[in-house]
Amino acid sequence: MIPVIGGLAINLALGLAFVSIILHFFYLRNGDGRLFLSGQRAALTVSLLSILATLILTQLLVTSNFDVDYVAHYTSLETPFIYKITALWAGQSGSLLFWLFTLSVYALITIFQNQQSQHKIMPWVMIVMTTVQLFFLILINFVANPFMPTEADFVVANGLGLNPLLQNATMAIHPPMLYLGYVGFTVPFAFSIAAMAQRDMNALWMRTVRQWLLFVWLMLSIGIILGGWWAYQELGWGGYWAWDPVENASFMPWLTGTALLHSIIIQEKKNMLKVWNMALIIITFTLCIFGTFLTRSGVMSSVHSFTASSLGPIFLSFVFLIMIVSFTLLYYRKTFLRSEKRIESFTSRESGFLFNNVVFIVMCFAVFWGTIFPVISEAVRGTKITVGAPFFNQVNIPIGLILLLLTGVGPLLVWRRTSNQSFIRNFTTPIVMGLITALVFYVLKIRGYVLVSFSLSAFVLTTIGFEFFRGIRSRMTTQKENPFIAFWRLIRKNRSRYGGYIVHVGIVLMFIGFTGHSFDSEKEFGLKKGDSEHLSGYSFTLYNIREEERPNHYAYIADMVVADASSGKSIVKLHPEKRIYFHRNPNPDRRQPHSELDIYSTMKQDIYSIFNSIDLENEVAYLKIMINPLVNWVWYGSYLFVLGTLVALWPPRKEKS
Amino acid sequence: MISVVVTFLIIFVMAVFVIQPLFLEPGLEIRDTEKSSNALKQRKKILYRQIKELDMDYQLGNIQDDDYDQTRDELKKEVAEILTILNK
Repeated sequence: MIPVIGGLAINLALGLAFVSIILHFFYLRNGDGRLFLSGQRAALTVSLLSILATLILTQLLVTSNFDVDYVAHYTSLETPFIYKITALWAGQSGSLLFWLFTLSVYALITIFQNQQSQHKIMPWVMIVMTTVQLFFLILINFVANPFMPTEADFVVANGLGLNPLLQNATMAIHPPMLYLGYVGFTVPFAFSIAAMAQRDMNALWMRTVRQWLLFVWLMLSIGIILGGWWAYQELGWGGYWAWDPVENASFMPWLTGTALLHSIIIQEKKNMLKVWNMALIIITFTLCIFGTFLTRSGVMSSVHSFTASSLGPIFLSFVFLIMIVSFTLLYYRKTFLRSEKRIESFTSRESGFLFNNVVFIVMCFAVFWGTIFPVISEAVRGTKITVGAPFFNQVNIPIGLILLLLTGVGPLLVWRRTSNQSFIRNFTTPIVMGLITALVFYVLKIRGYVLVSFSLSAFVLTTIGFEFFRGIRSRMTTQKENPFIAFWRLIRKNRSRYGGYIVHVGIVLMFIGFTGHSFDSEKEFGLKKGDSEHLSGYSFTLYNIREEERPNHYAYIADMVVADASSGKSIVKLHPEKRIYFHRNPNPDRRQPHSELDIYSTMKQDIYSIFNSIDLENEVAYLKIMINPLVNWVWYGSYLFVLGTLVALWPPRKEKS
Repeated sequence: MISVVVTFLIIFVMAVFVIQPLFLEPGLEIRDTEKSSNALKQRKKILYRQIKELDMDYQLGNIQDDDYDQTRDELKKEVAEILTILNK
């Protein structure tokens, strides 16, 4: 009964999506408000039905209703409750439904937020959002239906269970965050298409688009960071970013979205770059759909991607449709969007923003090219040429360093033009700090990108510190405030600007963390009880191997003590595990081994231990130890990054009129 | 039997909800119930913020006197135009 209602909900939503789009079009044609109201109610119902379908699938997962094929595939009786819920986005059809669910929630918010305003563009906003919903409804109804019954001529007593890699707390949050970001770009995209279609782009539009952009960009950023955190904690290769096609798929819209967040400031302040911003919004949204295509189509081999499916051509067609329609509209509205103003000087803040945009786009193109090259090479030459991390690092490290430099230069540039006097005064101290850092690292025999990265980090931190210092000093002089109050009020009264600076500090810390990767070291060895091995000034002694049976797996645990190799002083005890999931399954092929890491983190470095395998007969634990310097800087940088965005996003107190 | 009744009930409620506005009196006009001046007020807010930021940049020494005067005049002029419209 309940699966039938789920299926019915998505059938009805599909039909109503068509009805809503048609009613809105008719309203635009003849202006009869009844059609608008009816169309909006239809759109509302589409969203409510999609949410209902998602709740029904969640209920089926939680109650282990194995009559439904999706439930039987991605959960079992042993799956912990929380992972039964996260199984919603573990498989193909469930994740498509979750896409639709997220979009439906956004659609409801958009409708309720604009019930009393923006009626001129709202029909188009709804047409665009409902069209995207319609696309996903078509997929869910006809290609990957999550409510399909299990095809078995017997009662299915238990399901296959969730992939152990996905049974991780981070994995419970990472995909929803990514979805909130990915899917969320539909809203600014819809508002942009609507503004172009109706030739109406006022300050309310700008406020709506900016707020949505900042919010969805934050969600995408958190999603990407959590993905890196999950990879680092769970995958056991010691890194957090592998330039995997699906990682790239989320990184590309993030790059264009970041460019857009900067350039839209120019539009708001100077009424410039409107065509460019529209193009960026279209590209960002297209990349979100393209990213979903990469994950779903199976054209890429990735730790994230689902199995090969027939979804690829459908997604690709939708991507082309979006691009053709949107860019055609942009072409026909170029006169409406053209700005009367021009950038006056190369050394202006406007130029800085534009240059930053160009660098972001170049980086995005490099990532895009490296990601799709294997597919192109296979299509053209018949052999898949893999593009690995070395290519991405070689291309993106210098581009990333240019961006880092611009992070420091931008705040020091002045609107319209920076005078020589300002230039010298603003840049002298940061440049000196950068050069001193470079000299110190040069003396320490550190060269190349590492030296450049640390020097630029010092340069940027000085510029931001300088900005804070000057702001505080100014408030102390003009408002007679003490330094702490001045610091607090400086941020509170200029949230957008100083929130942005906090984000930049976070980015610098992350760059320092990325640079630490150059000093990584690792060693693999087998240890019997009481044996020791050495790496990077540490000794690793195995003092016990334990076994434990838990509800959904069986674990072998290596108890190790890490000590300073020279003094012998104990530092920490590590307990990496070798787990066997589905260990009670009578079919040995269904049992899944998994290494659960143990990491000792400090600001200086991480000691990363992996239990690779065990020789039960001889009681030997085969371990891998990695020393990863400065990784914590990446995570602390991320916290600041999120904090800064929240500061910028926080609404100002209502001003007295 | 229950499933058929529930199904029809859902479809009926939904259909009534969606179709009901079509039975309202013809000629219904959709207007922003928020004041139509909202966009202008929002623009005014942006301009005030820009003036504040400009003043701050000036205090920090990020902008030269002539640029400051010219930009501030331009912003003030636009604010004045908006205020004139809003006060009409």
